[in-house]
Amino acid sequence: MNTTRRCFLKNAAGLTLLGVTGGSRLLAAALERSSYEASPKQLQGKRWAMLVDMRKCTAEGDCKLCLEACHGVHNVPEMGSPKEEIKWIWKEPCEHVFPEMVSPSMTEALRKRPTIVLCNHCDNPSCVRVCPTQATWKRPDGIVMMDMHRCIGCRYCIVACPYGSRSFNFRDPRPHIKKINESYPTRMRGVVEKCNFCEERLADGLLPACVEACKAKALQFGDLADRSSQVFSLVSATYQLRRRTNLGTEPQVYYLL
Amino acid sequence: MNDRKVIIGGLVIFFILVTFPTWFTVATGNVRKGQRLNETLTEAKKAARAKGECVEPASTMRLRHMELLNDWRDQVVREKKRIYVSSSGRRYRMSLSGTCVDCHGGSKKFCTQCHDAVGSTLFCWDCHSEKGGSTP
Ligand code: HEC
Ligand code: HEC
Ligand code: HEC
Repeated sequence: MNTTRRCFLKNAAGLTLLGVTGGSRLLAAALERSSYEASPKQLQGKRWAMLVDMRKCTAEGDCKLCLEACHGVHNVPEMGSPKEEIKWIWKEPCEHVFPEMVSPSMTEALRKRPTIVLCNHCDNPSCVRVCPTQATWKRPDGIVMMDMHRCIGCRYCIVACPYGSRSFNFRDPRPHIKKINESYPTRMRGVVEKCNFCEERLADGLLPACVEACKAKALQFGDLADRSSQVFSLVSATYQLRRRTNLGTEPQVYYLL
Repeated sequence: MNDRKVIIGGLVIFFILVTFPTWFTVATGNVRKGQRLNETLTEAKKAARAKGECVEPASTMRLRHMELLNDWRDQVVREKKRIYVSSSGRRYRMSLSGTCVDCHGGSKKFCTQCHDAVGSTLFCWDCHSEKGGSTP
């Protein structure tokens, strides 16, 4: 009697287990047989970098081609107040970009000369070190990425970035976007954003939008680890500047002034 | 057998409570709502069928689309992969708006219909396009 009851319970438990796991396995099986691939057009690089040639740049006039191209594809809003401004690529007076380069004897025009600035995609990014959710991290190809889905809006990264390259969405940005590009997500209130070196365009085999838009050819983008690249030959054979190298962040946006 | 009344009374109360969702739905006319949802979804699915098959069989999608979307998101954003090879070997560009919403004719016609009914609100549309439309 005892053994049969035991057997019965064992069998019943076994069958239940089989039913529960087997059934869900069967329905679930499809996803397990799928896989993921990189886009065949993906541009491959080991250390993406940008060279800004301020000798060619026409930012001093009212040229805004690079800014407009970037803001158009990435749905960057125009918030209308400097405090709430969202910045991916923008113009900054030279004395703020390279404070160590200016001297009181320089002309006002030279000190205030508009200079193109963007996220430096540092080799040693301080923003990444402070992010508590790994919403920002450095990819193997050097791009400092943002995962909007993980960002909790704590703004530690904004404090950590010595270049002011990160902006916080204090308000819903959508009403402030002139024309929404439906193929790229906007952002929402409460997340931090910044330049992504157009990683979504690199996946499609395209160069960054700002580089493509610049008529003066003042922006060069390429793989610094590739010795045959244009960027490498320029960076290795000329004196160039990077912003605040004394901090040890190893910025990867190079300047020719 | 003095407890008979208590037991039967208890059973009746138990029965009423257990069947509450059923008769409450009937009483409040929500059956009609469910039928209408079914109709709109059937319409939406018919329109989508003209454009092709879903990325995975409908039974799998119904149960696990949220899991699939999480995988798509992580693969695209964190793993640098943008192509999905489905269980039957078809290839899709992984894009919430450009693929799912585009084929399903807009999130409001499809996703939101069902999600409203099950009481789940998606915040994806704060950022991703509800129209789908232009696939990059
Ligand atoms: C090429 C068109 C197409 C694409 C792309 C597509 N679907 Fe579908 N989807 C369909 C069709 C058609 C059906 C109905 C299938 C059926 O009933 O046999 C369906 C069914 C579904 C269902 C089940 C609905 C129900 O009531 O049974 C869900 C959920 C779903 N899709 C979500 C998604 C998600 C999420 C994506 C993106 C990951 C997606 N679909 C991409 C065409 C598509
Ligand atoms: C047939 C009904 C149905 C349809 C159609 C449907 N969903 Fe869902 N979805 C559900 C249910 C049920 C859940 C589980 C809700 C929960 O657990 O709170 C869910 C959950 C989700 C989740 C996770 C929710 C969360 O808060 O984390 C996401 C994301 C999602 N759906 C996206 C979509 C998208 C995008 C579409 C349209 C392409 C879609 N769904 C269409 C029924 C549906
Ligand atoms: C704060 C804004 C934001 C919210 C909210 C958001 N996303 Fe995203 N999502 C993005 C950005 C930005 C990308 C990167 C797009 C790219 O690189 O092409 C992305 C990419 C994705 C991708 C892969 C590529 C693509 O374009 O679809 C998926 C899938 C995705 N998100 C799903 C979701 C789902 C599901 C939700 C809701 C549960 C959601 N996202 C909510 C901003 C957001």
